[in-house]
Amino acid sequence: MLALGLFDELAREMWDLKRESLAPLVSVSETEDRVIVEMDLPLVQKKDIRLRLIEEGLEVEASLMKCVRFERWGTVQRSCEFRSFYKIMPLPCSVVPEGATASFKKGILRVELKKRREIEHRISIT
Amino acid sequence: MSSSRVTVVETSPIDKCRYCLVGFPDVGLVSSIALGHAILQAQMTEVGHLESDEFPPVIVVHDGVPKPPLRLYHKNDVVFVVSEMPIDSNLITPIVRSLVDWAESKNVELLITTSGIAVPNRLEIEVPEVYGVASSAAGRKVMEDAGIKALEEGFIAGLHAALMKESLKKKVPSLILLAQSHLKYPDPGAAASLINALNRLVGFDVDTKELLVHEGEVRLRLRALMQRTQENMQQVKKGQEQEIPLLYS
Repeated sequence: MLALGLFDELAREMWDLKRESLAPLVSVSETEDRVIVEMDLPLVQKKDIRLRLIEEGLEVEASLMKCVRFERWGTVQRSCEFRSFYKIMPLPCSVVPEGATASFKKGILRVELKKRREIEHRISIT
Repeated sequence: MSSSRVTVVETSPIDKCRYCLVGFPDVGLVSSIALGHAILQAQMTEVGHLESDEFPPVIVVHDGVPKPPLRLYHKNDVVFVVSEMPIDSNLITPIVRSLVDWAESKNVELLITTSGIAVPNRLEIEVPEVYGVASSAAGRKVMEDAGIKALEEGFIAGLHAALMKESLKKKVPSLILLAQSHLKYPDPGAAASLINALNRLVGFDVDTKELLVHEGEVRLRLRALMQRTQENMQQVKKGQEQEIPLLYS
């Protein structure tokens, strides 16, 4: 169990060496009728962002303008290159794809999704 | 002599310290980015570190040399105190007590803590403003002479707030500088504004061009530190900084 706990910690790390991708910083908030997802995507151009709403959540993939290289990186102590951001962000509730909006400014991607409205049942008070 | 659980260790003696600048990971990593950039640009010398049995068992390795994560750097009459890891809330009080005692022993003219202050419209701000809070009227004058506006109303939460509290108690002149910034994303633009304010305040001459040119790389490199820092910001109830105080004038 201790080992599993350690791997949970590592799983939160934000690099995928195999995919050569980075996980962006993400912030999720809610209003009464919307879910708002913000991601920090530095070194990315708007045209290189692919955004999809899938069963697991909001999927974002974005190529970096240039390959980023870290020398003597981390526990592997070798040169590592990263070429894109990739993340599937689970959402706090059901949303509908219709009416979704997205904007990208100064490297910050903001996506607004409408919450799926549940069927209402009115209760009378006697 | 302090009975603090944290000790300031000088590995090279610091004879003169007019200004002591403190910058730990916090909102937008503004102070970490600003002081880290200044240390490299000004080629400051590493002269000590903070030590405690209660620090986590972590060292950082640079160019093959192991170092404590909380370190002191020195040039001319300025000392920087920086950390490469976020500080747990239970360590804030012993750290600030140790730093204020040390600043008092060195007859520091001004103890300056730096950070960011989160603003919701940061994307609309081209050049972030820097605000200050001084522990005395004299400190406020120094700040205003450097063209830094006073923060008139609000809450401040975190290590810099604790440092100000301790400074007021021990009557050590101190100042908090806060640059408008993102809350949860590394903000080199805010760090550049902070550096420019420090240049005016303490007579530094640190160029911010390189920092702004490589803004994207800085944001990318510091994602993991920002993620860890967010957890610590929750511990100190950072959200309270967005509230209006009860006795709002």
